[in-house]
Amino acid sequence: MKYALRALGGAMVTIVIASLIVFALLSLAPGDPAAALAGNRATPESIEAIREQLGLNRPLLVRYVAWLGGAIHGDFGQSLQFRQSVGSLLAPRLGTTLILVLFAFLLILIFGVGLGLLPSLFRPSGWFVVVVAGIGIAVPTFVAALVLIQVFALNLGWFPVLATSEGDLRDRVWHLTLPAIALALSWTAYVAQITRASVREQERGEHVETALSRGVPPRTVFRKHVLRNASVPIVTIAGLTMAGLIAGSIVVETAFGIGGIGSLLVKSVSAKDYDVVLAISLILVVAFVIATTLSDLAHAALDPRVRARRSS
Amino acid sequence: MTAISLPTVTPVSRRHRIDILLWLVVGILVALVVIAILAPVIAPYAPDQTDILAANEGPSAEHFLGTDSLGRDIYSRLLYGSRLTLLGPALIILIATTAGVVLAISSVWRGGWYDVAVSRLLDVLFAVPGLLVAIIAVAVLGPGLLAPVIALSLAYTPYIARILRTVALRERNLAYIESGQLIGLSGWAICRRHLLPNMMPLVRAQATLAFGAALVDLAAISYLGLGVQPPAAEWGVMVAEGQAALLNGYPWESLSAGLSIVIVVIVVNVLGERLAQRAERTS
Repeated sequence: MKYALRALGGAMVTIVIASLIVFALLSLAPGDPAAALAGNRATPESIEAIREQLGLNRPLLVRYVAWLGGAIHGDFGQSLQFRQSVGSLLAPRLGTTLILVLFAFLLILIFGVGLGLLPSLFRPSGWFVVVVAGIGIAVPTFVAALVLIQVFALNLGWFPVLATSEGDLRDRVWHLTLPAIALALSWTAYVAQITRASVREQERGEHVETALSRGVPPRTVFRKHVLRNASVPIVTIAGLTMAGLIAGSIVVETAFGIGGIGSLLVKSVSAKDYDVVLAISLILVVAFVIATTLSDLAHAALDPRVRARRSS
Repeated sequence: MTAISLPTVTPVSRRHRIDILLWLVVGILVALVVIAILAPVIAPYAPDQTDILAANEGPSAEHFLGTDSLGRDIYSRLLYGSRLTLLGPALIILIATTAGVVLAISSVWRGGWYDVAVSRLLDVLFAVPGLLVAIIAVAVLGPGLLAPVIALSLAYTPYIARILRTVALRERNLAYIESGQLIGLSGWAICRRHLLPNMMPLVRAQATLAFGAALVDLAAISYLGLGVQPPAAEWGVMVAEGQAALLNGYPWESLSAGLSIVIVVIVVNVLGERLAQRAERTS
């Protein structure tokens, strides 16, 4: 419990520092939001008035605190390109991104861990898993996306080419199947490699040999001595996987034309729409920190040694 | 790295067997670098030579991989594209490796609050994916190769520094460091001439593995339209430019550029894993 509180405190500090860095960097970006809002025919005086009204003349730290205070209440400012509040822009897109990331995460857990365990259950498949994982890990998300579109949407016609965010949940999941596979591919290969490596390490352990020589049935040994110990590194990288998926969704959403926060981020960077960039960066940073903190806590829960070492 | 060398049980035949896969992979990489350098000599067309009458053609005798939507020769653009595609990650890894080595050795050597501060910083950097750092950098500095290269150098530093710090910590307690201090060598001389050379196999392995990941990230940034700008030839740009043609039934540009990325990353990863195995065996 004490450990959990400490992890939580560390996570809050990381979020504040990371968001302050992003805020400071983006305020260095070229372009004047006041001039952009005022339009082409604005006089220097009216631009200055808008600057004053937006509070752009205040020191950086004051502006950061004001922004963070607004963000906590759901006020992320105004989008320059869409002329509407950032909050109303993000709300519908956040759900789409969330479904996509969770869908991909589920695929990774099922196929990544499954593929990693395959050689233990069926010995001759060892080289197959090595080769498949080695190739899978090298395929960038956007290349996977285009190959999937070419084969399953264009050649076979099984799935729609472009995803839409319309319709009920079932329909949305159907449209997000190819994007989720593209997003999951390289991480599935990575999880398979980690699973294989940690299971193998356990299988070669002395405790397994001892259990077998004492006549414990191999199935029980595998379940109780191999799987349980091997699950520690797998759970730990699950957090990293989640963080990677959130970043990867930026690419997949753009490739399939999905209206999520990832594709909105890319559009907003190109359009110099900094309030939107700032809001999405904050959401992503919070998501990363939550994912890594959860994996930290899970690691400590599974392995008492970690808990003892860190709180000492 | 014990002071007294103990007889090992590693079979000699295994150690001296020629590693065919390793040499194959090295051969492919050398060929790739030669292609990148000699692109103007090998390529049958200029990368920006358009021919609107021959747009979106499939492979033919004149155009080995067909033409893109502007009638440019895809094969020539792939060859020229290897330059920017490989140069970017090479720069990133050079900067990140240098920074990683310096941070790892200096934090272990100085210890104390400096070590704690560096470790925390690396932990935070490690938690944020490079792709997001690169996108924010582009928002600040504008599209192009500069912003993503700076951002990814920063993002890949912990990837190298964290593992090196662990190894440097182990080496720090070995007898040769203390011996060096006893005979009056300066800390700089010990690090430079003894500690660093001992860590080099691992540095090489980590840098190679990071190269593949950096190449994918950088190509993704270019694919998103935030990195290398068209009409320049780069593989991520080519995948993006070919996407419209792919949807219209001309997949050659996207798929050939995408496959090129996959092959290079596989080759680099195999090399990195071999180097890592060797580094483990010698330490």
